[in-house]
Amino acid sequence: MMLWFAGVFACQGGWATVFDVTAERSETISTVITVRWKTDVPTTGRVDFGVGETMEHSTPVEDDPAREHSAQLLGIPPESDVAFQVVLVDGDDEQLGDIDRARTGALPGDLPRLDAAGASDSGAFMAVPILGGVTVPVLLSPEGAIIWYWEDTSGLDVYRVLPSVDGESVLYNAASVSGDPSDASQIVRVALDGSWSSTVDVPLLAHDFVEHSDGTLAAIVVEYREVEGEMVRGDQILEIDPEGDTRVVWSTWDCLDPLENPGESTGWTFANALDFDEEAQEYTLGMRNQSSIVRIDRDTGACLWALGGTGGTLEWAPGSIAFLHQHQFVVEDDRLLVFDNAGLAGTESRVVEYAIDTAANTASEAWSHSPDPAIFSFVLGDVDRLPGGDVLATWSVAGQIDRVTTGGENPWRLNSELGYAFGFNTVLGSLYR
Amino acid sequence: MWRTDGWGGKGLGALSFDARCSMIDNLSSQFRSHARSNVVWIGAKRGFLLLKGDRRGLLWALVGGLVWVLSIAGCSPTLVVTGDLADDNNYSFTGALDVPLTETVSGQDVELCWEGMSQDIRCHDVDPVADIDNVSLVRFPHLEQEEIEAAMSAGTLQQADISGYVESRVEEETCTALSDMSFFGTEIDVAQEYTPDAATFLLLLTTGTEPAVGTRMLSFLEPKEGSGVSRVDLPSGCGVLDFEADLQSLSPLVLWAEGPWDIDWSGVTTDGQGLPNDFASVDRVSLAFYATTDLGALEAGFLDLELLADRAWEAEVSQGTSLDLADLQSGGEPFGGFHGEGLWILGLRCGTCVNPAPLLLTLVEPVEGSGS
Repeated sequence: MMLWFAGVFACQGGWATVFDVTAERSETISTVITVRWKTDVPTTGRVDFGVGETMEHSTPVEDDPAREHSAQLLGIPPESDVAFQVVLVDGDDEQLGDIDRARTGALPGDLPRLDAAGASDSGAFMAVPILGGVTVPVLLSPEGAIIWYWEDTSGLDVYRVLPSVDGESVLYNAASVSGDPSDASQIVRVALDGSWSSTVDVPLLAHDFVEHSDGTLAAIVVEYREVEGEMVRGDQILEIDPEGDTRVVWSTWDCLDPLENPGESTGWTFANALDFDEEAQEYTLGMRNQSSIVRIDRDTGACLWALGGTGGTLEWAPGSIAFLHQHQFVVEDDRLLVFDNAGLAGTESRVVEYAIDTAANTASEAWSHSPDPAIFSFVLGDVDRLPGGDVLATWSVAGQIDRVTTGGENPWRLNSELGYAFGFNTVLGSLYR
Repeated sequence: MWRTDGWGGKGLGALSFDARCSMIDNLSSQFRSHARSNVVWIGAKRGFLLLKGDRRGLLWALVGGLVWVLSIAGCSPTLVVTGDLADDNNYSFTGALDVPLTETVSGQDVELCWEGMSQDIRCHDVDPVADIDNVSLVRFPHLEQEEIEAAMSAGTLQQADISGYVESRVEEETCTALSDMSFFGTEIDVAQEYTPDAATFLLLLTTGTEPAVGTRMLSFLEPKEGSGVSRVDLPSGCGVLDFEADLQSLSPLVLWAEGPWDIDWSGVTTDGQGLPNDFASVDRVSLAFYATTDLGALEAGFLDLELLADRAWEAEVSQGTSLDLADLQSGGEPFGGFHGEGLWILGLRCGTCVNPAPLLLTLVEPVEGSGS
């Protein structure tokens, strides 16, 4: 543990006196620093901070007045000097404290090397698991530096990592989709400073999960049913509320029939991607072995529309290339961004955008991008929209993340060293909720 | 004038001075820097030294020597033997791979067997059952075989250089097949993906299941129309890896025999292959003692350094760029000091790197006594 005593009486003369300011580097996550301070009267405040002399980041303002305070400085690259300053906040009034300094530590030696090239001015952080010699969910700075990490030693894989909606922790799924799913799979919650972790057992957990604004978790879970004497592997959406109660919201069996909509040898549906529209209360689910993406009403379980595969309700517009064995996607109003693993001929993956017209029941290819030279991510893969409109393409198996403009330019790229792939990627405007 | 007695008669130690002598210290640091690259102690027992290198370096070495003499007179210097590693402490290593190639049927299943493989690429004995845990096939879409060999030797391959990775975990068996391979639940489509297109296929047999780590044998597979080969019997790996290590040109690290032994590699910028490296991947520090083996023999048996050692200590490094050698252990016993006549070799290693060559190796020249 590294502890800095930043200022004993750091700020006097305002509406409150700030004292006992300390900065403590986390023992387990060397890039996280916790700042603590006291005030002589109850106040609310925040900490402004940044690398070097900048103050480009701020922690959220505390909700409730108190005399003892703490805030975690997130988003700092390893081995960086950090300037920070306690700021008391009272409505529009601010009282600035002294500027103090701390330093983040080195990354563990077994984390893979990531090499970034080009300019990254997206300002977007990323949450992505790294899979290889170590299995480690990480948060990345917009420049591609690892600024949070947690090595998972369960022996399972990790496909998705998300900051929790309450801003207190990071969530990830420890699961297995290689061969049979695992009975020991879990959703893991880790404190931002790594000081504690907890788990929710979710047997047969598959690739993806989401967290609702009320803390309810929704995950893809494998579901077996017997059909004509044989066990068929389908999927369901399982919700786990904050009290731990579970509810099956939807099953692939609700909308598809394995006899009419056959799958492949790795499983009938092999659902691999899940999104949730909080406002509409609708899920969107991708199924690799159906090459299909389906919209689902959370309350009724009804399938509202489906694109692709034998169960599709939308028609491909002329000139559009259907995706094949797709993984992640993003629903944006009437647009659908998809990571298309194998829709192109040969061994070439792409990211593609479709215009969805549910009134006309059509999907029209509006934009696509495939890198040169070609990359074939035969598993996993993700696509996200960056602030400003560019696309973030995660070529998982290739260990490469590209920022792509709508003009097809590639102003920024991140590569992992040999032996390390990326899981699904989540773009974050801020590390604070 | 140049004191060698009490230094074990061998090494060149660094000097430091107290605050009153900060100016001299500055000059002295210049001296140390240039002395490392320009001064080689030879025949120290006979009391002379050999200067080499550029004139500026020689000048600094001489000026530094003068400063050192002045400091003795006026500043009561304390001799400090430093564990700060620098680039010139590091060995040099060149390795070349000559990976065998086997042509096979195209778009059809191929059986892959290794029961006849008795040695690995480091010429170490292999138990085909006990030592092979994973068989993987890597597809390189844009690199030729020679480029792959060169990049593997240099340790410069990136994940993006490959377009496919499938594996087969094996236990008691000594054969597997392309059709047994998968990754994250996705099986290889042999008919579609194992074809003579532009891709190059590399087969790896490893101890352990971490991709590309613990490689015991390598072979290129080339699917070819018209080939009737549907079974590949992998040969022994001895001869696949050709290497040359130089342990004699480095500047030894001088440490007190009785400690302290704090070493710090934050100042090292290149690995043994001369490639830029931030050494963030160092996960193990090792120290080996050789009572009778000379440097030439160690260079020749470079891949067996740990096997040749009369005694070896090691410690894991989870993060950071420094370590106290007192934390090293051998069979549960902590390292107790540089005792005995022989060679000491300190290594910084990366267990998760594709290339098994240590990132840093250096000779340690102990100085009698303690710096405490």
